Amino acid sequence: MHAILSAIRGIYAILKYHPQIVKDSQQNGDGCLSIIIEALSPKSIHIPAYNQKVRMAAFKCFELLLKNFNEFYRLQDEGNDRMGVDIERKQVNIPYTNIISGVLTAIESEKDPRNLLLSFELTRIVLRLLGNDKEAYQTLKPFSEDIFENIS
Amino acid sequence: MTDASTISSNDDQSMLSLIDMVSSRKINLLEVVIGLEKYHTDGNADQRSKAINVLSTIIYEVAEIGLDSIAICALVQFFSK
Repeated sequence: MHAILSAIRGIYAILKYHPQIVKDSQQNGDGCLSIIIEALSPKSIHIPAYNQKVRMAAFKCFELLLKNFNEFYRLQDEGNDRMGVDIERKQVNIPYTNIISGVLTAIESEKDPRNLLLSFELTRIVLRLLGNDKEAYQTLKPFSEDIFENIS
Repeated sequence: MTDASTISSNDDQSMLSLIDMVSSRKINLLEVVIGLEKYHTDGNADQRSKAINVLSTIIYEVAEIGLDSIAICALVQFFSK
């Protein structure tokens, strides 16, 4: 448990203090950002099962990921449009669904008041990112029930 | 160079001296990552936990440390395991 908290705090420190290097690494194909999102995905870690501090650290990572690395996310169907044309771009970019599913799984059933504040903020950021235009909304649509559950 | 003795005697004092060495650039962080890697892969749960704690603390305490892309990638891989 203690190692998980340290590892997530380490990732948070990298995202907070060295964002440019993470961006450069993602741009040149090393995929630091992809690795971080994969590490925080529901496939790798079930965040709601951990204690409040771990969940808070993970929420803060997601907040930074959503706020500071937008240029690397793409809508889900964008990859199909570009298939065979822009392979390099597909490797650099990450589907929005990957990070959104991570965020929504992490904040599900959150009860702690300190974490709830951040979970609402994360939901707000997701809605602002993808709720504005019709194409983006299609990406968000499969998650609408989860979002409603989280804020209700 | 970080070695087994540095990590196995992972008390507050050795942690502080390691942080000092990294911040004063007497030791390259990448060397620390590589040094700790074997504890993460071959060590038991306690050693893995210590290795992660050491690196996490260094990154957190020495925010202004100049890191290159190789070190960041190594750290990301390390924390993501």
